[in-house]
Amino acid sequence: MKRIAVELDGVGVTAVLYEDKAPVTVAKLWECLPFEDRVTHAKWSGNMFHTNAELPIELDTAPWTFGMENPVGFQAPGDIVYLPSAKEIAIAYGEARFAWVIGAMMVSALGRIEGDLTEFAKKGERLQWEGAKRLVLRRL
Amino acid sequence: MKRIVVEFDGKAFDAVLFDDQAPIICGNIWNALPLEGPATNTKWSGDMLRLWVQIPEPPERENMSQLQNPGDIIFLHKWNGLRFVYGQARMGGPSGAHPTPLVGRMLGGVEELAALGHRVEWEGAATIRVRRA
Repeated sequence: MKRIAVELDGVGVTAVLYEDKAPVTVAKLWECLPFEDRVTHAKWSGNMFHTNAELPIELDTAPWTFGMENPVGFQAPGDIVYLPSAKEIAIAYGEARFAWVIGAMMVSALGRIEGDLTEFAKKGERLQWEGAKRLVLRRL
Repeated sequence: MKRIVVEFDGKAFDAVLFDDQAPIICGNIWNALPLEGPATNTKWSGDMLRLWVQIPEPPERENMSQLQNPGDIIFLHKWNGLRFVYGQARMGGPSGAHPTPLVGRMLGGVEELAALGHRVEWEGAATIRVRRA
C-alpha cells in the first residue's frame, strides 16, 4: 500500500493512497512526487484547502463514470481528493464538501490522512486568516 | 436610505443601508457604527468577505434575499458580522444556501473589493472599517 507524507506549513501527517480504488490516478500522482505548492483555503467547500499549481498528471478520463476514478460526492476530515479537470488536489481538515459556484461536485477520492488530525486541522484553519501556506507531498 | 462609508486599503467607498426595507437590523448597524475589524473570505459562500464585528442582533428577519449580487452587504443572524459580496457568491453552509437579510449595497468600489478578496485569500485577513457618511 502506497503511503505519503503530507506537510502543511511545517505540520506533518501521513496518508494512505487508494491504489485499489484509483490505481491509475494514484500511480500518476506517485510519479510526480515530491510535489510542493502554496495552498489556499476553499471559498465554497467548507473546511478544506486546495492546491493552485496544476499537478503534472495526464489521464484518459473518458472511460470512467464522472470522468474520474473512485468518484465521491462527500468528504470526511482527512480525505484527499483530486479534481482531474482542474488538476487540483483538495484536502478536508474538518466538515467539508467539495463545491464550486454551481454547488457540490464529484471528485476523485485518492487517499486519507491517518491518525490524529488535530494539529493539521489547526493549521488548515489558519489559512482563512493568514493566507496561503506551503504544502509538500512526499513518498514514504 | 442611510449613507455609510466602507474603508479599506486607505480608500473610502460610499454605500447605503436599506433602513427602509430592514429598519431594525439597519438601525442596530447604524447605532453600532463606526465598526472596524478583520475581514476574511467565507468558507462556504464564494466571493464574499466576512467582516468579523459584532452587531446587536434582533430576532426579526427582514428583507430576506435568496441570491446575492456583487456589491450587496448582508447580515447573517447567529453568525453575525457583515458580509460584502464581490463576485460569484451565494450565502450558504454545509446544508446548502441560506436566505439572509440584505441590509445595504456598495455604490462603488466593487472591483477594489474583489481585489481585496483575492489578496486576503493569499496574504491573510485585512481590515475593513464602516462608518457613517
